[in-house]
Amino acid sequence: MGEILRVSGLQKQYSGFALKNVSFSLEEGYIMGFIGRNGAGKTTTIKAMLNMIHPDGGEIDVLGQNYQDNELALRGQIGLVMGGVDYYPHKKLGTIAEVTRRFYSQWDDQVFADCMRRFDLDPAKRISQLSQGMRVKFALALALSHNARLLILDEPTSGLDPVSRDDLLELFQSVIEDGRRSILFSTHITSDLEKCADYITYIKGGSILKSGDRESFFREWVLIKGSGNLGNAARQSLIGYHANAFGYSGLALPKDAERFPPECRHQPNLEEIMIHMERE
Amino acid sequence: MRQLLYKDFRLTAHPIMYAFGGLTAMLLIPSYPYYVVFFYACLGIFFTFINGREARDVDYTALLPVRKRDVVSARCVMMVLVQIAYVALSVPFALLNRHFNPTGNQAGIEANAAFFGLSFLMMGIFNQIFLAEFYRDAYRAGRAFVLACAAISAFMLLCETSVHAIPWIKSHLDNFDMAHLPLRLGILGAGIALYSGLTLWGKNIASRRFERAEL
Repeated sequence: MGEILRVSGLQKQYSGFALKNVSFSLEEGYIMGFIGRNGAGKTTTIKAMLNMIHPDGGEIDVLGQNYQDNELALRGQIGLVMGGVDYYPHKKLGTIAEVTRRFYSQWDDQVFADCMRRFDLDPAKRISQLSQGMRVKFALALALSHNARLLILDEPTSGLDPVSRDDLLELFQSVIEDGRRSILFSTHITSDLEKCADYITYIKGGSILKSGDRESFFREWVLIKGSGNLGNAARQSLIGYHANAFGYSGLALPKDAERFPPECRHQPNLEEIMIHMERE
Repeated sequence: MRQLLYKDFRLTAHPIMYAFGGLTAMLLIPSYPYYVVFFYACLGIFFTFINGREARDVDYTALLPVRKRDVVSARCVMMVLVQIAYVALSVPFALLNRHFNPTGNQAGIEANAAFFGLSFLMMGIFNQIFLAEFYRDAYRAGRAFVLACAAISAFMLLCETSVHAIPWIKSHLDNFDMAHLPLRLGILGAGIALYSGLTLWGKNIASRRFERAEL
């Protein structure tokens, strides 16, 4: 399996925010979840990767080729969804698809028709007649129909009902089945990632906190939960320590977790990791 | 580029851009500042840019595998095609005007070859300013239009006033006199050349600016 995406040292400086040395990579045949709270830099990273905004530094390689040098050819290999379809609200879905297909040599009408059927989308409807969730589905149908090797999806599950989200995550699995395609999708809905992501990259305040396979990601921390009061030293060893009437919780690095009794140590889920990391 | 041009005509073009083409019939008005006909061509184009902005055309285009400079080129080609179509539509009306209006245009220049040359120059000025200004951020179409309109309004005013104020222009350009036809054809040729140069200049500045713009 080859590397399908490599981001190295991506930087972008704004007056109140900066992407700082963002680096991660994704191999063929896998799904990577890109998580972070609102404003953490997920969309900025994606835009900077694809030259939609101009990065101040860093290298992007897609399919082993430098993205800057081969942008046009590589963009044809990327299926991009930036939220739902918000453009051309008064145009019919069929019209937008008919225009879009002309830009892709590998557009597959059968795949598009299958997606439209699967997502229950009517080509005769106009964008303005779709709900937010249906707009996301239409954006996905367009992105999935030109045999892209890399799908970059910015918040694709936002606005979808639980059944549609589950259906979509299943679809993601079938997309990568052939081992040639990969998906990078950003979200703040952590349960989606637990269902389908092989790799997780976590961004906080413009910096990558951790990027790795899902198992190593969960091994990185231990959730400490208990009742009563903690001493100052124990408190300070916890990340995102939080106490209320029912007890306390916080994340600990594995070496620090040993100071807590076994019954207080738990395997955190992604949401718990994110909540505690963001409290830090 | 061809696909982008198709996209611009299929998705972005505002119907009024085509409808204003009917106003080329204003060349039949006996006395009128005929440059207004081509102002409407520019106004129709402005509506299309506004339509594109309101429909978030840039967001759609950003998802496509295209170069930014091709996005500008396609839009520029669309402008040129529309303006040439307006000229082509207006020529029969100019010929009819000459037939039905023997007293000539009392308000401004006759609809002759020199007029068409100056009209090309006027549209070239519009294209240069509008393209260069709009693609600073691909958003502020109103500002670009006001600046371009101010320039072409001054140009129209200067041209039409000159016809009345400068006897040489009146005698050489504001008629269908065969003796001065080569001069008027020369102005038509120069107008087309300047139109091409100004439009290309505007397109090149626009491409550079759009390349720098963050989407």
